[in-house]
Amino acid sequence: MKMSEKFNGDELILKIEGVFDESTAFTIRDKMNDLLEKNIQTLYLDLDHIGYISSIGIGVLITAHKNAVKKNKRVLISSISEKANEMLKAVGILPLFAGKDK
Amino acid sequence: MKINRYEIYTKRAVLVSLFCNVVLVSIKLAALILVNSLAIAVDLGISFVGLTISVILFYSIKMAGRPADPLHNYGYGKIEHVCEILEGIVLIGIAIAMISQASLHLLHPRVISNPWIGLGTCIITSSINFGGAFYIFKMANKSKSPAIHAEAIHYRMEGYISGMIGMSFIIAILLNKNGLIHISPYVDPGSALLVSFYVIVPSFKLAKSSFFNLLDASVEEDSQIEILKKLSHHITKYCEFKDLKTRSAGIKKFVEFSLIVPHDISLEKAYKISNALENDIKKGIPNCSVTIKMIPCDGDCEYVKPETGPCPYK
Repeated sequence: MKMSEKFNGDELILKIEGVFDESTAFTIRDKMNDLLEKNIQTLYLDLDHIGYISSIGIGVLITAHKNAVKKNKRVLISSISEKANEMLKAVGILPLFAGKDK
Repeated sequence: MKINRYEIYTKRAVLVSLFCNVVLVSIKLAALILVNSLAIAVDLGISFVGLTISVILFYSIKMAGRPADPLHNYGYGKIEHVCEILEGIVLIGIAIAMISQASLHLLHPRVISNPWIGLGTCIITSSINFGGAFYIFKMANKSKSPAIHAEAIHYRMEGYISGMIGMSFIIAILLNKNGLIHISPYVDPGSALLVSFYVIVPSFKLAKSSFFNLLDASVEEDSQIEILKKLSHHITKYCEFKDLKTRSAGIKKFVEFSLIVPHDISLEKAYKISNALENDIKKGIPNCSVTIKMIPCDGDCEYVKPETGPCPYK
């Protein structure tokens, strides 16, 4: 799993590559928590290169959304792979992360 | 005592399994006497284990359905996993014993007496196994019982085993017809060896997964997803959820988590939120027990500041 970040004013894009499951979810969660502490308004997630997302990964995304709301910030998905998209759609959390294309 | 439909499915599966195993053991025992084949002896051993497990399963399923009592507060569901482990370990034991036996027979080969009877037996028994497996899988899917699912896997595996032994009889008959009588005595122990190796891997996997289930493994991925679906369905009603824990005991599943709600909403409102969530999860996951601990928010959020606006969860 690889993560890279790019700042753009009060926005930040976090690109995650690889699988999003129990082996990587907690590293990603900690990273998102750290980034939400920074002086940004919106955290964009680039999930275009996510091969698989498990229930633990989905749980981490829901927690990140809740964490952002608590800080009056937003976590949005800028792009997403077909597989991950299907999964989030099935769980019904895709609208929580829907925003403008990045 | 109220019997739910899931218990009816498991009981049906166990009765079919019990009946088929009695028939299988009788047929294979008769065939062993007539054919004198080591491969059929392995097959008979496996069916005998199957029969023993079916009897244990019959009582286990009855026990698993018993309600929780003061000594077993979470019920008796884990007995199903004990059954699975037992099945796995005994099958591994039989396979190891047969590997050593087959190796000896390869060194000192014996001619099998009536290969046509052996072939006929294998066709009949593998048909019973596949038919039984089809029905038991159906009941396993309906009941969500891990022990019944393990039984269905066992049945299907036995079907393949009988099929493989049947093939070895065909090979032996063909070799005999083509004048290769000196090779055909090796086919039977060779087939027994193959079957034994074939049994070891799934049996080990079965025993391993049941062992971890006994160690309170989380519920399977589908149920985890179902829980998240329900949590996301009610997402606008609570601040956060945390400490989500799940475990299964046979067909029963246990889910618990903490739900953080605004500190100044009424107890009645908070109860309504958690009750709706609990009922929704129970609808999505049959035989599920849900425990939700409600925690008032600690106010460590932006909405305590007047300029941020009202709390979205009130």
